[in-house]
Amino acid sequence: MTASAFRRFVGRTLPWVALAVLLLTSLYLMSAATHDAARFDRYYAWLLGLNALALVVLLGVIVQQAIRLYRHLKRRTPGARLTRRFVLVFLALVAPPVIVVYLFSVELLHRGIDSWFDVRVEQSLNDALKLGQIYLDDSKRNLLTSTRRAGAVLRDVDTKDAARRLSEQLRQVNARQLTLFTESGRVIATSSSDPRWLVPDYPESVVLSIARQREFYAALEPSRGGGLKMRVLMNLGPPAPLKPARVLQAIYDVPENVGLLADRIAEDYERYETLVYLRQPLKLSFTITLSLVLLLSLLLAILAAFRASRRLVAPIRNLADATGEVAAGRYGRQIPGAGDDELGFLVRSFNAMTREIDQSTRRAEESRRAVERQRTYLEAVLARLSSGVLTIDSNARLRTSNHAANSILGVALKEYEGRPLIELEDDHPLLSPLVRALLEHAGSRRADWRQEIVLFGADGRQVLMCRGTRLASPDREAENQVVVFDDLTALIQAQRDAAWGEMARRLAHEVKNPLTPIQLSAERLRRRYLGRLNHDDGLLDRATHTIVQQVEALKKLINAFGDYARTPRLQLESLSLNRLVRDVAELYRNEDQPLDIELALDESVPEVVADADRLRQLLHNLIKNAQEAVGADARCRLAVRTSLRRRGDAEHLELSVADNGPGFPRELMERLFEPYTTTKVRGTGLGLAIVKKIVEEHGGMIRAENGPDGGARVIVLLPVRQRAEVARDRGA
Amino acid sequence: MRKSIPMLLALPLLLAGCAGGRDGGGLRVRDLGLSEIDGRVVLRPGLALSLTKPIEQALDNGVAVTILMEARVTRGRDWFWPATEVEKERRYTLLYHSLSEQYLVRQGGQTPRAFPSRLAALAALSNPDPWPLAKTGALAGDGHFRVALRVSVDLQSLPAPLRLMAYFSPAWHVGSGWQSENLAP
Repeated sequence: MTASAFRRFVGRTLPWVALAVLLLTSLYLMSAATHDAARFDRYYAWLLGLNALALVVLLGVIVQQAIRLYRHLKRRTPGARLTRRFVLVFLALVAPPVIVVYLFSVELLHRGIDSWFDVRVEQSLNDALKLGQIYLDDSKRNLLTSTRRAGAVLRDVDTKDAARRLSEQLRQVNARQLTLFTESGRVIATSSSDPRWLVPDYPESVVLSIARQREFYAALEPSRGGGLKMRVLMNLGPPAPLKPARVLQAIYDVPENVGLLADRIAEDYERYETLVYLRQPLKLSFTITLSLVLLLSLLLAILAAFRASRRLVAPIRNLADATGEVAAGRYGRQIPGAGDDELGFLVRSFNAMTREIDQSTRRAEESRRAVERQRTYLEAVLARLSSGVLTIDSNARLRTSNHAANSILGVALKEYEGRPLIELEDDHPLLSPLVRALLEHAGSRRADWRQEIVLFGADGRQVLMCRGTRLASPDREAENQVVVFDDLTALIQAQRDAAWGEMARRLAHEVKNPLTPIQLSAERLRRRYLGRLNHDDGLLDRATHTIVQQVEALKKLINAFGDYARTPRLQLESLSLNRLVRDVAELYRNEDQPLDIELALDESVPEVVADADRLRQLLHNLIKNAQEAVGADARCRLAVRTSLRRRGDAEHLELSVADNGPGFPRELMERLFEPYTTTKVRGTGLGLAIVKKIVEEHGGMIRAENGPDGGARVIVLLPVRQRAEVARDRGA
Repeated sequence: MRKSIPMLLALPLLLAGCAGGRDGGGLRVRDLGLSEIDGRVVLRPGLALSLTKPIEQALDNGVAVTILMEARVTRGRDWFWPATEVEKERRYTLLYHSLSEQYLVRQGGQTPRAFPSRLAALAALSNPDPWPLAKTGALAGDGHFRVALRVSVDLQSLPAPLRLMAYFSPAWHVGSGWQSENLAP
């Protein structure tokens, strides 16, 4: 036997074997006791003890089992209800026959005990005892008479002669012993017919007392060495006045044959009487013992029901547990074997099924992990992309977005994943151009598209280059579109700066440098030959003048262009736009200037982070542009306004400059801010272009329009930003 | 069967009935009668013995009732419970002799003493013979000695069917409890 099998035997089987042995022992003792009262008497304490012990053990175990079952029922543990039903059914099947057998046993036992007793036997014993008593009473009277006669002789006898006289009377009355006492119990003399009884047989003090009071006392007593004796005491009174009274005691042997017979009758009678007296306690004891056996049987049956149900239910509970685990997605559970019956077959089938599912699940899990790794890799790549990436489903819902998209658009796009794009537009109106473009392309069937989108948000103007690609899918409804976009604002600015810088450098080298020698050469020709040539009709004068003048104009043009192309580093500072506007306007308020400037400045406008010199240049350019547009024939009137505009989450400063001129020609409206766009004969066409450049350097937007009552209006929008934000942007 | 069911139903009542009161009976130790005779510690106890009705009924129905007298000498110790130095017992069996209508008192194998009445028998038992416990020399060690006596009905000697009821019945638990006296040096 292995150690585990031994432990199992000791832990599970041995208690049951012990209980069964206990019960069988109890039953055996019960059976023995019904046949033999002596054995019952010997085993009674053990029987009770064993039964009580077994009862307590069983009760404890059953209570523990019942509590466990109750907890399982409360927790709705699988198999608990089946166990309860099984126990109840088992009990219902076992209890009635056991109780019926018990009741019959009790009845049988009672009848068996009753059968020990018979009225006639009792009467016979009683009669026999009475007969014996009558006989002995008759003997007692005779002996009393004899003793009285002897007493009459011995009453007055002298103390010295008492022994002799006692011996005479002993022979006369045929007693075993005669003793003469004083009333206090002192022996005066004694005489015995049997040498074995030489010592006076002292009466009990109470007997002596009775004899004194009643004159005589006679009673049968058990004799030393068996048999019976008759003790007779006779109060003889005082032998003389003032002398103590005397008491004569006579001990007679009851004839041996009579004594033994009478003693045996008495013994039987007493035993019978004792049995009669003990009949009810005996019945009660047997009933209690049988009840204990019944309780033991019932409790054992309940315990057996618990164990049997546990064995039966265990595979079912295991199956239920395992099914729960399978439902929870854990397929590795294997149920221990449940024998070769149908339950065992079910368990084996279940194990095979879960094994198969487990293997399939592992394969699926491996595939899923591979996909997950791939997805994680893609996500990592997308997260590290500087380009924004969005996926949009066929219902124009945002599916995914990467970190760069959030950064470029300045919106936490994760919140909008799974939601329609239109909600993004509702919450962020600044993204409207992008959302509109995405919606437009989402509805189209084009496989690829590309579009530049300009946003004007809190950080100013933002140029996005978007490229969309439709992801092919067999299910058209599941077709998604990937949109990749880049913020080109900085790139375009840099490219433009670089282009203009290169152009300015080339102009300086290729154009501006030769101008000075040309001008100097023309002036030298003029100085040398203007006075000598008399027949040139002033040709030299005009020609050289024209050359010098045009060179000057070219220089001016090139300087203006240089101004435009120059990209000085902005000296950003917090400044009040209103104060700046007032300062510039003040410069134009003098009598020499044919200009009226009307200021409408919103005092709630916050300070703006900007380059004050560049903004002054912007205002000068706009004012000069307006003056030149109005012309010298009319007085120029300017209306300069500032205000705070809110678009979505962003705030902007709006600066508008309106004049009373003819307005912008309609045909120039599209390219108004491009270089060399002018209606003026001497204009460089760079005024508004420089304004636009300054605005863009500050991250702003500019637009121009004609008023309904005539006149032109240029509107500049500048973002309201704090110095810290600007510094952070520069750092980035 | 018809008789059994009421019997079963009456089981608790019977047991409860057995557990009835003591109706005034009881065994008491009035005094130990402690003395030194011939270099021995001797008890001459004075007892007050009376029996309860259930015990008298059992006695009158032929059941022998054993009066158990237990004596012990203990020596007190400082840090432990007292040590028992001497432990002795006497058993007096009281029974009714129906033929002679006498109450017999038997002690061990001695010839029984006969008494015309139960009270006379109990009266005789109330003043038992002197009971030498130990030599005084054997009790001369350290610590103080106490002599204790207890009188009770010996339930173990009752017939088994009666014993069960007697265990649960206060009427059979008439013992005196331990009565003790210091042993004078």
